[in-house]
Amino acid sequence: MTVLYQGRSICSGLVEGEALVTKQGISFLGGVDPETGVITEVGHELHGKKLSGKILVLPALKGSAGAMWIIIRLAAGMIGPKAIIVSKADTILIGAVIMAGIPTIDSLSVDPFQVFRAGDLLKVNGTQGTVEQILLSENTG
Amino acid sequence: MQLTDYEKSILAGDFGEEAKKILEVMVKIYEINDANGFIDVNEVMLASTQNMSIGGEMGMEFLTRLANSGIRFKVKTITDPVSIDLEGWNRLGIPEEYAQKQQKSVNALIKLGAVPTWTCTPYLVGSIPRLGDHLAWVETSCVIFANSYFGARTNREMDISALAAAITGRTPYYGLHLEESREGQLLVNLDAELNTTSDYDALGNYVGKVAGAKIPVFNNMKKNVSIQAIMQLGAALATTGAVTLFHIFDVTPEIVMDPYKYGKKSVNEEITISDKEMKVAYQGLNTTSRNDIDFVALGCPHYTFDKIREIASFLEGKKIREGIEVWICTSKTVRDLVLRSGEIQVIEEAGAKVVVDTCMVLAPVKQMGFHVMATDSAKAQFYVSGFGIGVRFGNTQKCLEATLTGKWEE
Repeated sequence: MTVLYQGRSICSGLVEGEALVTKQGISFLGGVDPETGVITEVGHELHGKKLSGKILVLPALKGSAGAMWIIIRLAAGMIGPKAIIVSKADTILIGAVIMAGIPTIDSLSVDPFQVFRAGDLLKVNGTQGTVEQILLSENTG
Repeated sequence: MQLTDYEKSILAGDFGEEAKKILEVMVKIYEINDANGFIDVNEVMLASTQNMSIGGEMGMEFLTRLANSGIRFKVKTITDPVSIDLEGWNRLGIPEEYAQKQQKSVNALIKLGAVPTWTCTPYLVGSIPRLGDHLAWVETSCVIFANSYFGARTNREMDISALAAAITGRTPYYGLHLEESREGQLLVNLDAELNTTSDYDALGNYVGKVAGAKIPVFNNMKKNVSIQAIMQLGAALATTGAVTLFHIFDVTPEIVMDPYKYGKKSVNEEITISDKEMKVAYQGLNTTSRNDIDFVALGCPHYTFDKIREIASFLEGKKIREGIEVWICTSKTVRDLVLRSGEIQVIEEAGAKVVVDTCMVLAPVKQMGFHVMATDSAKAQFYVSGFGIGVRFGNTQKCLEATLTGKWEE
């Protein structure tokens, strides 16, 4: 079965993938290796995790505005997140995802950290501003 | 949204894909923030895209194509540092191929009409906003300084929205451009003695974590706090938090004009900083237990004249230990001034390098092979740690002592 949540479109596009969830902001410049897409910020709860192919769920970016180009370069190298679900998109994130063409939504009708868990299968429709959570039954999961 | 014919023509693709994308981002930012029209800006500041270490070759090519499209900047546009010392890259050990690539964005930005300042302290070299001026600045330490120290109004732009402002001469009217968005929210009572500029780094580092996106108001800070200390405080606040503006009672202009409006009316949280919190901040800023320093990098944000003098006075007649690379980062303009007064010669004779146009955060320091860096900047500490280099943070004096011994004294 699936559950559909409504948000706001930031960048269009339709993708499906596995959720990578963090309640902590991410600093892409200095906190993510642009060559590998691995989170390198010391003390971050996702330290050592790869962004590649994931649907990244996070509250906000933090730190330098240089984050934008790191996100664009990760996308060009196919080692960045496939889609982004953010609590509230800021200017830096808007620029990054439009330049890189990463489907992105914000302002979901529910608290994303209450409903999404790491490993959930999500279908993000950046054009409609919706996200579909695909719940697997115990038998098939 | 009322767009001009020129803006519509750019959006239609008449000036190529790059300018079109830039204006698409501007339109989206306008919509998402529910902006109330556009406001003309006096000055724009660019960063990031131009850096080999951030924009990479994609950034170099992007700006080159933009410059070749025929687009020119409509308002005064200043530039953050790049990833090399434009004249001294060779003596820093930066490969020629890297320097040549970096030169592409420099050429492109000059062709577009930018003022080639290449510094993160443009207010020391002629960019002096007035109270209430509208700007579109990028670099986080500059944004917070312009808003707080000058009482100018800029959102925390990123490079593409700033490029849009440079091209169109205006920016969506929302956020910190509006008076009602500028009232202080987090009261910070100082109950600790702040002596060195690094104490302000540690303070900013701690308060930034508590503040998140709130506007801090500092109470009980000494009235004659130095410009360098305010620079360090702002840079640190904007690193650990999404802070874009702070007020200091009796010091910064908006709160001096109206202490109730900016210092009390919207305050909904209060904290006290004592020696205990300062100690926690200093401890958190040391991300390695290694004591063998091979890189000492000072000047983040780019140092003032006064601070370079302080360095020269320490290093006079001394020799930096062999095998330790020492960078004192500043702007070309400030360097030329200190060259005339003779301190640069003193610093270089001791074996340190006065580095301009770049810094330890933007140059490719990881690829240059450094293992443990000492710095007096909380901002540099954060970013350089992220590159995988161990960092020791302490006051300027402590960092300078490490240049002589190669050891970090706990």
